[in-house]
Amino acid sequence: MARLPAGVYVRRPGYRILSALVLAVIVAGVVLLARLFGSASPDGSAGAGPAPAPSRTVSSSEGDDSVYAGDSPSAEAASSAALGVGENFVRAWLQPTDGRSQEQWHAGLVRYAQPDLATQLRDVDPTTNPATAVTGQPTATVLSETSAEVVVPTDAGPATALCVLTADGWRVATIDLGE
Amino acid sequence: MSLDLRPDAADAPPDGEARPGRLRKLVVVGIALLAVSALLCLGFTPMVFNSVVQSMRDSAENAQEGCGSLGFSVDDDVKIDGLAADQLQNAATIIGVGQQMKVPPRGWVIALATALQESLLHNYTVATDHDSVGLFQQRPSSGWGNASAGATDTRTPAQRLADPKYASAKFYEKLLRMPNWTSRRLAEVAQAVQISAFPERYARWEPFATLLVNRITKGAANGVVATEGDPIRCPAPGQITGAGWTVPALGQVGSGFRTPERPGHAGVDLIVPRYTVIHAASAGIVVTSKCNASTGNCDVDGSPAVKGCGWYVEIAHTTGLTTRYCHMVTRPLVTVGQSVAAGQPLGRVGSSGNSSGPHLHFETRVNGDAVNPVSFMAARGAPLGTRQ
Repeated sequence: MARLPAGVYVRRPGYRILSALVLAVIVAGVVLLARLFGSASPDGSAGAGPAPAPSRTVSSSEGDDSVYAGDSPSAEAASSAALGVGENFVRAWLQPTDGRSQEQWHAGLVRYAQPDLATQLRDVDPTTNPATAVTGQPTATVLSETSAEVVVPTDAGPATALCVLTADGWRVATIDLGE
Repeated sequence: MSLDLRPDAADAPPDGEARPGRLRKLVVVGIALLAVSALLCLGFTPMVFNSVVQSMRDSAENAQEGCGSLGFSVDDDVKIDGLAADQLQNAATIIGVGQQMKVPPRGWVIALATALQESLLHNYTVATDHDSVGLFQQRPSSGWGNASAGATDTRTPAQRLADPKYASAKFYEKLLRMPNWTSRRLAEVAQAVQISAFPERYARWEPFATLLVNRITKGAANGVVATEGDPIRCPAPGQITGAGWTVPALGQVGSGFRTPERPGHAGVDLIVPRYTVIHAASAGIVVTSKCNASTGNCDVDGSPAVKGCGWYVEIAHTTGLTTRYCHMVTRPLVTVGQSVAAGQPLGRVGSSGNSSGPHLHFETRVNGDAVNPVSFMAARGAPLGTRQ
């Protein structure tokens, strides 16, 4: 097979379009792959309107001698109360961008946290928290009448707070960040 | 790469002599495009790779059953899809150091879960986040890596922490000083050693770290071991497997999970005498502790005519797992929001709610869906039933 000089192909308009298409497909493929498998989620970013926060309920009444849910009207109430404390906690827990000290940062989140969690976060350097802003509406999954998992979108991924109804009211028991 | 494409020679235009100016421009543009796409590829590779390990993290289900007996032999030839040679080597080093220091298998799981979160088991010798280095991303500014008094080690703290054996030993030393570390929640224990802004992150790795220990040591996470050399045994109530589980009570499994006779039975009934202590099957946060009965009274024995599971407790463990304990004789010993250790007493067996006699109705759930507790517990080295 005779090889022609490279310029022969490169100068043909059809080839140029083809190569542009091939490159476009490669780049699109890479971006698509990253979207599919990467941790960055394309939705839930800033700019989302004030859509109502959806909430889900994990079925808790199932089977004969398991939990009987005849008298539990409080799933909705649990969900909205947990959403409030979960979001307040996450906002207090974000990396301070206003020069607050470590002590001020910790004091700001203590009132939303279970004592165990407050203790766990006592010596944390808040500048190591990559999340600096809330970027969307929080959502809640009700686990039981006295607990819900609240997810708050941040600029470093979703922050997940397990909220529990204690004698002192709703509190955050655990905090996680990322998918 | 696209410059290698060659269209059919017959279609080549007759004016084969290239105009060098345009050609050079095209080549430059082509190289620039290539560079950009190569950069994109490189930039995204870690993300795609992370997703492989992350999906393993999320789907890790311990297929190992029974309570292993070979737990102290490290398998050097083990291969795990998605993990590169350096990651496997570092995992084996962490386990090996734990064995040398006589740390029980629970500690190896905690150390691996921590290192997976901090470094994905890559030994970072140069700090990329603050001054954190090595498998555990320990920070010299926080006091990690200081030489012990009288030591002849002349390395800098950062150099020491970039040594996987040194870093692992330092992690274990701090772990062993914590009270009840074998039975407490992994996130709490790892947090006390590491001090992260989002402690729960470590716990996400618990199933995958368990699987790694079991694969590398042929099942050490699936049983309890008192001292090295002892055979690894299935746990009695209150004894914790390396995976972090124990049995809530020892007793025959009476009514099973969704049997043909009781398709709606979302758990198993363990036949145990009234007042037997019920133990938390694993560490977690109490999310429910209340009376659930159509009569509203759980302080008297129920009956098949009563609806509900009586005095009961529900615990949220890591990675979407919950367990439920029904029909207690009196108000549970734990309250909502409380962090409980594996094996901690939750209450005592009774017959409150929908019950015709004393037993423990025990449920295991994955993301809210009930699964068969018999296979669930067997996969965690804590099989239900009677023993001893």
